[in-house]
Amino acid sequence: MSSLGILGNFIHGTCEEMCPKSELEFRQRQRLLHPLEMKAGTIHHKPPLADPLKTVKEYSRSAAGVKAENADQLRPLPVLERTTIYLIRLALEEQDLCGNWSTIYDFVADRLRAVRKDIVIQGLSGRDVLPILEVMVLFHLYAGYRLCELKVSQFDPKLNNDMLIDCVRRVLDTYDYGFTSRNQLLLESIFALHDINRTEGVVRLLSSKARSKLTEDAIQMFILYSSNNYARLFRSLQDLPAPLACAMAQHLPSVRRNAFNAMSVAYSSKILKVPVQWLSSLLLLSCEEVRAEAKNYGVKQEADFLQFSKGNFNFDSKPVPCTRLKELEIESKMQVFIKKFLVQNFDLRK
Amino acid sequence: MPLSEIVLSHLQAANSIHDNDWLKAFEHQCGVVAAITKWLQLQKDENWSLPVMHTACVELRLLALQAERIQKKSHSVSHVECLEKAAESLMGCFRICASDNRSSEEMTKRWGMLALINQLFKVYFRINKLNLCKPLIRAIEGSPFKEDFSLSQQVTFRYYTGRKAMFDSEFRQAEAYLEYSFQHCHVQSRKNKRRILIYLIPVKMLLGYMPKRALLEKYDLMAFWPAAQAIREGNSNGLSRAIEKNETFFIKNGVYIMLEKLRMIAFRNLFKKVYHILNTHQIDIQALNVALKCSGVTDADVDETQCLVANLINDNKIKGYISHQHNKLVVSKQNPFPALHTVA
Repeated sequence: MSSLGILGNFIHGTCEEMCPKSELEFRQRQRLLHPLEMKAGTIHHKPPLADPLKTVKEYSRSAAGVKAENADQLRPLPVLERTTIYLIRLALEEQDLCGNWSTIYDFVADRLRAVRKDIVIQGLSGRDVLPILEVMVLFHLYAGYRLCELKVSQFDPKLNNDMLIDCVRRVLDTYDYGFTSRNQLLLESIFALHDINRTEGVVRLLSSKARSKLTEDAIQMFILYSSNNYARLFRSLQDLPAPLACAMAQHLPSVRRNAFNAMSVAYSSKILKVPVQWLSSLLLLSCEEVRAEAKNYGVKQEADFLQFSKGNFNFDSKPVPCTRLKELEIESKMQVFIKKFLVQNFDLRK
Repeated sequence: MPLSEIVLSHLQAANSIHDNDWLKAFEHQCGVVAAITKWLQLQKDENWSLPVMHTACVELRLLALQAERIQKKSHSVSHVECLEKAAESLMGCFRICASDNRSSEEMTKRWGMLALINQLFKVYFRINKLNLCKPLIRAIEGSPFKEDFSLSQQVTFRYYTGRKAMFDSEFRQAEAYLEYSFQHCHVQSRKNKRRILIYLIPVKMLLGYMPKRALLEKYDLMAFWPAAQAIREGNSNGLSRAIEKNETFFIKNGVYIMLEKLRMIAFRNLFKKVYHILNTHQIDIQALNVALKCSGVTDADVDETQCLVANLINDNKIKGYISHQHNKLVVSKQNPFPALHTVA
């Protein structure tokens, strides 16, 4: 038996499709299908028809008054695995189906959440669910990076982060109960950098006996971050494996803020100037972005130069929101990485 | 009647220990503490039972540790989070004690708070939930008799609050707490004094006080010696080797990151040497870069050198400024490298 109930009394799902039949019919009738779930060419039908190969069970909150789910609404592990693979592939391949990727993201994130709920209700745990949860972490990491420039109304980084943490916590707990995975060092390294402001992750890395290039990279990044060595941090970013670069990207605004803060004191002068060009290569920003940051932190500008002054740094300023590092091509590297992860961790013929 | 419950659960726990069933023993001990909590609640204006509570709580924590250890070893599918559960039980007691503000000063159960907090600290540090310590610290800081708890409890309390402050990079505060703890720790508990020093020494180093060899020898802490030497000399490579050599010790005690932070002190000492050799107030960044490379940061470039100097200036560890155009560090004519204990 592949599923391990913690207490043995869990319900075992019998639904063999990605979406239970009753839900599919209900949503088709009520016109609640997502465009990604409709049969091609039926979008203008009344109502549009569901494509059973594309329709996936929605997430619904468990709440008082909602009936507990029956076995025929729950998907057993192999189906959950298949569903996850389908969703991740959809996220990687369907580039412009809906015009923008955030629509695909919303769909995939919601349906993955439903997968996690099925896992919890059936008490599935241990080694079998690890690859599912691990790839979910990679997905949220990738999405968080890819969508970081959008407005909060289009993409909520906090919610994405909560889902990522939910997955990664489950993964780490599973490791802690003694279930090993070939991806353990990867996930531990991601966690250490994702949660860089708390030392928990890096302490985990340090205390584990196993080490690899990945964990060394993550520890090194942590040290550079906490000692504000912005010069080496940005330089090392270029050689960092894609998942770790993704995890670091969200912290770069505060690294830059700290850099501007230190430079405001160290380069403080009424006469001396610092070229924008130099800062642009140092902090991996375009010259335009350097100027915008300078303005945000209260640093004076003069043609192609900045003029730092001790008293001018604006301590009330918030870090300038995250942007993507276009020239590092993290996105495409991450896509390749996740595809490879699927091949290595799942039997894709199923 | 809670008293009979206490006795019954206690006997069951003792019996499970005899059978080597640690998880059962832990569960029964949870019963003991729960019954004691009820019992305490019934007692008005008396606190003679606090030592009973204290003993039961210590045993609860020790049983939780043992039960976790056994579970980890057995790779069992089910897993009871004993330390978390123990913390919950302890919090139950804590609430009763902390809210007993109607009794007179001699009779209030609030005298039991600190002992409970120290038990909770031990659990939270073990499960890496340091953020949960904050409200507990506040409860003691706000207590009118915070100076009047027993000295041994205060020593323990300061040891943990000192460590917490160290993790939060509040080094002055960490120094004060750990120093109190060290000074007031019983002379004969060398083991505890040594434990305190494991944190006090790196904190002191960061504030500019290097440990004497005799002290390290006395407390069997020579693991710190090569690191201290390397920092003094400004030898980054030496520091890396020193950390590597005693890596397990540093990691186990949670001071590895602290030692990495000390690298900045090593850089400061190195740059000070260059300043003395060149004997000028306008130091070529290139010269500092060469020194960095020689000291072990072999792939350091000029940008990184400027970055390190910028941080040192920002931390007041160097008095001066950088001229990017001339690639020079211009240091103050007076006291360009102020003594570390005056600036940190």
